[in-house]
Amino acid sequence: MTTAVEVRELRKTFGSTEVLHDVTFSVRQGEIFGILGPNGAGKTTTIECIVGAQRPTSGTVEVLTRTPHVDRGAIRQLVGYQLQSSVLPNALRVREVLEVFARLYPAPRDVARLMDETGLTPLARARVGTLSGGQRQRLSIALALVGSPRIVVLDELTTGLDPQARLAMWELVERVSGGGITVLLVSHALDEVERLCDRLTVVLEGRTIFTGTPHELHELAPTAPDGGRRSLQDAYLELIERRSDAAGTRRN
Amino acid sequence: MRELAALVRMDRIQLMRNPTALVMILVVPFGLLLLQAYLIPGTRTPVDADGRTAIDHFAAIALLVAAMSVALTNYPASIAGYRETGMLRRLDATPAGAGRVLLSQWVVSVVCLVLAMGALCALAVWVIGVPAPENPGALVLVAALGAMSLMSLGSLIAAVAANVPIAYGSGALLFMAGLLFAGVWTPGPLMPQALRDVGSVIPPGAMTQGVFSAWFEGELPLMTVVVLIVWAIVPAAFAARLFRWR
Ligand SMILES: Nc1ncnc2c1ncn2[C@@H]1O[C@H](COP(=O)(O)OP(=O)(O)OP(=O)(O)O)[C@@H](O)[C@H]1O
Ligand SMILES: [Mg+2]
Repeated sequence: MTTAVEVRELRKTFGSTEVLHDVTFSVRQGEIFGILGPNGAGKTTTIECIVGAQRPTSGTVEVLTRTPHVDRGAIRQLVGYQLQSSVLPNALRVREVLEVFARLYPAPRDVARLMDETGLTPLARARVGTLSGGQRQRLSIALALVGSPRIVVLDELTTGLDPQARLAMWELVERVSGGGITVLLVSHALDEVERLCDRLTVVLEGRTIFTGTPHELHELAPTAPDGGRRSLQDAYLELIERRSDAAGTRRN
Repeated sequence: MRELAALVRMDRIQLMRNPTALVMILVVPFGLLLLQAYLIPGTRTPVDADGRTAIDHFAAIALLVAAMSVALTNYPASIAGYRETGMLRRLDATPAGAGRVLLSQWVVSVVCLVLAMGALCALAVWVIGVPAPENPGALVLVAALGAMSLMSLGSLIAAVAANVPIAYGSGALLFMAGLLFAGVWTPGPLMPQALRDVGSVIPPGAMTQGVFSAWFEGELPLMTVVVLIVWAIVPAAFAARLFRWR
């Protein structure tokens, strides 16, 4: 299987603060790959290096054999990016936003079909400003897909959505992935990761501390002190706790 | 071209659906002109040797005011708004490009400017009774160059302002300075020579002086044209280099 995204020993500093110390993982073409880690761990920063919006301080980032911050033009076409926080133009209607963004790409998706697939057809004439959180996320995914990307990067797709909307998003991501698009998914929800991700990486304080399948993550700490079976979430929390302690000891 | 047309469509829709900004472009210069024409006494008696009245001078200033409100406040504030909300970051993830994002705002602003200035000239000549332009071609040229030089200046704010209040604040400062050099407080012959000299080499003063000569004297000083062209290019070039997506 070929590699879609390769990140090796990625470091990133902002001024004098080093945010990423050593992030290393690779994403295979066609898989759904999760990026996990506590708030402030450096997930969004890593992603911004992958989409070329930030320049790595050192280390290697390759996306479909290209260097993102160098070959930005190509990366912008190959990678669809759903930003963690972005406000879309509220005065525009859903269809209008999609049409505008579609024309920014050389080989866009058909807007009507894309709206169908993302469940936006009934909202085509709604102003963006009137959409609910879940509807906005649908639009943001649709915008990430509109340029016919080979890779989509979804930064906290389902944070803040109700259970029904989350389920709808998951089905959407599965459909996207079924179409052969590589998906990078930043998430805090272990149930989401368990259901969607082929593999995942865990970033803690700017360092990769685990890369593997959800099953392998679970295997790191499968049983609770009372002998019962741990959930994936508990295994993840255990890993974070252990490694935070270790990092704390190293610093002191 | 297709990309630019798409961005222009987005900017146009946003402007049309937020008519306050559109109305403000016209309210201030129209208000200024109507106030001078009908409420302030003595504005229709000649103030200089050529028989020009204060209202004639204000017609030229009103064009500047319209141009400045678009170029120094509306336009930078729109871009700063995109930056503040993260829309610029979103656009940065598409193949749109900074140049096209700015250019699209230029296109929309220029259309607003043409309409606003056209409406002001019509008001001045047909309603208030200011003489028709001596040299309409020169008037159009100098008004267009003036507007470009101001847009270019506004681009500096648009390129870096982190949010809407900063953009409006800096725009308003330039706006006030512009009014001073255009002679809003010292119309026509009342303006001190020093102010006139400085004004003649910066956009607001050069534009007003150029508009005035084209309109009432039928002339277009070459110096004014050169000054405005330089200002239309230099700040815009800097702005493109300084442009920040976040
Ligand atoms: N432009 C910047 N300048 C300075 N510091 C920054 C910048 N961007 C991010 N940081 C810092 O880098 C760290 C990692 O931020 P990042 O947004 O990558 O975290 P994250 O893992 O995405 O967190 P969250 O789960 O809260 O979204 C944070 O401490 C943040 O304050
Ligand atoms: Mg983040």
